[in-house]
Amino acid sequence: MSSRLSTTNLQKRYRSGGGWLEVLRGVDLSIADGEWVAILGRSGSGKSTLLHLMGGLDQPDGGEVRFDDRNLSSLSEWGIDRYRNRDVGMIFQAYHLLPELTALENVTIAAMLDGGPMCWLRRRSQAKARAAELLEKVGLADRATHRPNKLSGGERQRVAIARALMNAPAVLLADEPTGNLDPETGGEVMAVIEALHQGGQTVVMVTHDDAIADRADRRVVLEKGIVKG
Amino acid sequence: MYVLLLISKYLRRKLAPLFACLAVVLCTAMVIIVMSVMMGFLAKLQSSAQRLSGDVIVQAGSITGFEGYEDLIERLEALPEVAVATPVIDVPGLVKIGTRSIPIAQVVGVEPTGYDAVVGYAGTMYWQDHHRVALHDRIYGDPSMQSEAELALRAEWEQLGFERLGAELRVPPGWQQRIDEALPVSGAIVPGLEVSPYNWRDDQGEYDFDRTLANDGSRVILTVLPLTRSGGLLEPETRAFATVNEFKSGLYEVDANRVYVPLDVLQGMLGMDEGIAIGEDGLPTGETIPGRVTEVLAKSADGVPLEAVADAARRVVNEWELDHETSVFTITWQDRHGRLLSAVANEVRLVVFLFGVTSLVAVFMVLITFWMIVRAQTRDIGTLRAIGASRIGILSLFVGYGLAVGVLGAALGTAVGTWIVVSLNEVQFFLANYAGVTTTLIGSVLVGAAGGAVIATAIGFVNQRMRWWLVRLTPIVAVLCFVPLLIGVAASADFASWLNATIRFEMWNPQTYYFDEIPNQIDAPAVAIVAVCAVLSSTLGAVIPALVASANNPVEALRHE
Repeated sequence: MSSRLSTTNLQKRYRSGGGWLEVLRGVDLSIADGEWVAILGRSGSGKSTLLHLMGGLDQPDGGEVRFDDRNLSSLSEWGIDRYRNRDVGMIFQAYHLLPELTALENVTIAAMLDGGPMCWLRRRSQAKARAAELLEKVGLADRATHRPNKLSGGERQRVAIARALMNAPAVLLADEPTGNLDPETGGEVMAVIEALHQGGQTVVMVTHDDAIADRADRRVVLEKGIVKG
Repeated sequence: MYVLLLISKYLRRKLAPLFACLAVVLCTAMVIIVMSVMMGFLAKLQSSAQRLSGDVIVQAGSITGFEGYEDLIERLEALPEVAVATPVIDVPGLVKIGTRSIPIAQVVGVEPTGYDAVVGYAGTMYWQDHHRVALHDRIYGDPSMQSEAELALRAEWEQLGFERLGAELRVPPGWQQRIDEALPVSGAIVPGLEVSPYNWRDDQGEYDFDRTLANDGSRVILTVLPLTRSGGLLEPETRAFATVNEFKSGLYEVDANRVYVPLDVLQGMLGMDEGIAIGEDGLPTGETIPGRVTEVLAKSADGVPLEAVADAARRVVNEWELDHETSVFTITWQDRHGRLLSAVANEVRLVVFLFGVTSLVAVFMVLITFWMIVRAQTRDIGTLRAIGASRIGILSLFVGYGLAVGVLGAALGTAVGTWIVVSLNEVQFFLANYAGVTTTLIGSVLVGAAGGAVIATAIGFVNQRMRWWLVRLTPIVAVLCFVPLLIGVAASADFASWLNATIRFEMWNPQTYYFDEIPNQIDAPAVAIVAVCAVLSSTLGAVIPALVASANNPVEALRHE
């Protein structure tokens, strides 16, 4: 399988107190198309930082992230925004839905961000139909008009998954998607992700949970900022 | 597109921008009200000043006046720039009406028709036919009249004084002297509406004539000081005049001090009329002495600029001065009232500037509000950035949000400000007449509700059912406080009157200002400028928080607690 997303000697450090905290010390990782990779590690091992760098949310201090052979660091600000919008979809532990919008609007907004007003007006009905279809796919067709505060944790996370899939991204980046959920609800969310993977979706998932990691194609363990083993 | 969606959602579901919007509303309304009143004040002052003076004034160098005014008027009226001109005598005098004396009144002698053509004098006459009819009906309908004879006599007397309600300054043909009058009436007079002590303004702002005090009210005693041609003082001349109408110019100072009398009568009183010269031996010399006036007022022809009229008049006056070997001044109405007008204009600029500066508070209010909003929305900003929103997008979201708050606030502020300006005199009237009853009734509800809430809270601390008690006691005590007062006000007019007399707010006293009403003209272009400034100010207030929001690091924003 060809490599879709990769990191080479990826480094990241943060200022901490008077000095620097080395979070990633040279991570080499390659994600193949259609692969499900679980990233494990203890708290502070750099899992979320690695995911943020792969998602284009932050800039590395050394090394590079490549997507389809393009170095993210060489992209313009606009190019990075476009990458986050079209090429990757992100799911967070805390869901990060916009509280003012309904479930349907939260999903649709990802499409609204892709292109200007005229572009949106042209494909508005198409986008709304896809958002409704995605909500149905994650089992929330009857919750489309509900705002996040009227949804349970599991339902919110499924809306977040639908939003991440809205622009049909090549890679789904999930940062502990079941971290805030009870085992039963977490199982429902994982079932959705598993189904997506079986449909060919590339998934990179950060998790603490070995049981969840076991369902992935590959496990990558981070320890003190480097890939173990 | 998401920017518009989120702005519309934020506007509907966030409380904070409503406060910013309220600040914009209040500041916009405040500036519109202050600006409209002050600029209306200036505009009204200017139009009143012009109405009282004509466009161009040729005035004598001294109070003794000048001769040859008929020739001057003829020459002025021959100019294409001048429509019409009229002679005027403007001198100080003592005016006595009933119990009131005005020691330095402005006595103005005019030829009514010509004076009307220049300044629209007839249009300022207050008493109209319907007033006379109403007065007649009241006299005949008054049961306090003791006898038919008294009724008829009083009615006849009242009517005669107002038989001719025009501006002709002629004693009515049917006028009869009362036999007890020591000083016979020698002419007609039109005093300002505030000169007579018997006129009073009713609750609706209309003047009424109190006939029970008017037994001597239509007689005005006028005393002037005649001067010789060289300025020497002669014996004071006192005559009685019959009031044939009263005028209302709108300028309180003028309405309270000016009286109009016929020009020829005043010339006679002042010794300024045409006559035969008397020689040193006390016999007529046969030489005719021309009449004199103190001013000639000219009205410009339609569409001619004021300065063009003034220049043309000055040329004619210069020639006339040479021919008549005399000296006069030619000024415009703006020159005559220049000091007052420029002082008020400066005052207007200063007040509008100060209130404009005060309105900067709206900018800071928007800035603070949006700063708080950006802080509260940090995670949402992170979310938007994570799903592909650009920095420009985030910037335009918050700038657009500020713009929307500004547009909404400016629109509401303009509506509120315009409504208040238009209704200002009604509001003033209400506050001056009904504030007592209104504030008492509203106050009773508020005090009752507060008292009920305090009692409910106290009970709630004891039995832990605070909400139950609050819901019941607050309205009950409010009603208990309100109802007795409502019954008292409804049952006793004296109580209501006492409340209104005790608690009143008079924000406009016509005796303090120049006008009897608050100027409330809306200047649409100025209002539009204020509204645009309000929108820009609100947008400006949102710019810094928007820049901060757009500069947020997405990862830090997502981790924001």
